[in-house]
Amino acid sequence: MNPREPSPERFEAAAAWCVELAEGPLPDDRQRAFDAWLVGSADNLATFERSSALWREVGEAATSPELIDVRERALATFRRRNQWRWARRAVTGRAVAAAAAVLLAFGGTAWWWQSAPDIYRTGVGERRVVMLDDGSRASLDAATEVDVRMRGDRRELHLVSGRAKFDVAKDPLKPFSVRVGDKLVVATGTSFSVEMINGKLRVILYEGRVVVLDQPAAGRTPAEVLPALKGGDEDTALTPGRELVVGISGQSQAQLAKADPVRSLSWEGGQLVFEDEPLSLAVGRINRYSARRVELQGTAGRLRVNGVFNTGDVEAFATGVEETLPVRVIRERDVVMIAPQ
Amino acid sequence: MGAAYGKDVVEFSREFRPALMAFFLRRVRDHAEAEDLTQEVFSRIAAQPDMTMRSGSAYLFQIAANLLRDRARRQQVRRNYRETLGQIDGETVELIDPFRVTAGRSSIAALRAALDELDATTSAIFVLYRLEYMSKDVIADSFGITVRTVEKHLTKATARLTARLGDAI
Repeated sequence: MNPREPSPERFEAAAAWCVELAEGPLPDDRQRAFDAWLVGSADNLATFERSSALWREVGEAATSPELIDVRERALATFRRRNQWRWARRAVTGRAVAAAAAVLLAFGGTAWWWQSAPDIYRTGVGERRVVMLDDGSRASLDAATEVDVRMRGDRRELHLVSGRAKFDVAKDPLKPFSVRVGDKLVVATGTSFSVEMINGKLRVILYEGRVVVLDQPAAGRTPAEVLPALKGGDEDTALTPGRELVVGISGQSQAQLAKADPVRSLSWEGGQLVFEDEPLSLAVGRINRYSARRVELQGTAGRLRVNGVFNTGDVEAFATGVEETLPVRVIRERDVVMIAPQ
Repeated sequence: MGAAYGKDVVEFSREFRPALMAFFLRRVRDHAEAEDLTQEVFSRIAAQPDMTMRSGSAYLFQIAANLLRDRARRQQVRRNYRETLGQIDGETVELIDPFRVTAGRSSIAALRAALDELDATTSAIFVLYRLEYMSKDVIADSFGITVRTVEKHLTKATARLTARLGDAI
């Protein structure tokens, strides 16, 4: 035997970590124990690497002729054990669940593909809070549609229009993603809002961590949408209290800005707060709440607006804009027009 | 001899998590970060709408490599930026799939022989968990043993196979 070969104990310890990691993410205390083991000896990481390489090799060899009969034998053993067991005692709920789990493991996972999405919509001026099946909470702004599909292994949402804030129930094995155009916002357990407005996707992170991806076209790997670096010493991560803005479709440079956590959520309480926002953005939001629409003419959309408005009160918004900005407001029955002076 | 197509996240996790952890542990200082990065790979895989894209380890490790690059970009201002980036650029070929197994017939035969040397119950439990993706609960139930004992069988099998095939890998 090679004198530098790890001891059986080291192999056992490395194998135990490999098996534990194969089951899922480690809880914090186990992660610390794993770290302690790794730093305990320089050989530990190398032995762990060998274990995980072996683990992979077994998977790669799964369909080879040499292993097929080993697998058949293992399955035959499993079936025999189950027959004995069911002969021994009455079928309990647990056994039924176990059998169902086995059926699922063998029966493929096609069934959940066919499930239709749950569609949640709000009309103009309407807001709604929805508790989703997984315990997550979705707060829908006015004129919003969110389609929800709870898959066996993931939670897929599609923001079709408007804005929604999500408080995601933690479940690391079922990633929570919101598709917007050809962008994908992926979270595991967190709180964030997603909005479609004027051709842009705006993601505000309140807590935890999300990743915005370019939805891959066939054959391409997904790429993370990274904001531009400004001034060289700026962190480009989307951290809590920040907002990422990027075009809904196509490749465009993303921008990162500070987001006031309270102000940016005022819509949930029926108010819209604008602080030096382009008029075009403000009008896009105001229009979610009123059948009487506001339209912009010429370059008026580029003006900056400040103020607090109650949602649905188009007249107050028109008056506020008229008094503070160099614009003409033309009031018609169904439309309020704002034009540069 | 590919990994199966259309695996769900549990199966993917069982198949690749240890190798991904080993991959990241070699490349990032902080072990908690290795765990986060591994988790992120699974999040991205699971977000894939196209099931056929979710197959194959090359794709998986491409995502892992991309994550390391993104991380290096984020750390642009930090001292070790150039060092990290240089390291990644120098490893492009290897990064495609450092755990790609060039399992020839001889090493598969050796694997088979090593499996046959295991105790029959240990071998069956290992195969059911690793290759048939059964849960520990289900295995424990049908063998009439505890989950802890199932784990002991899995550890024993993995340790023996690693030791026996050490040089072949």
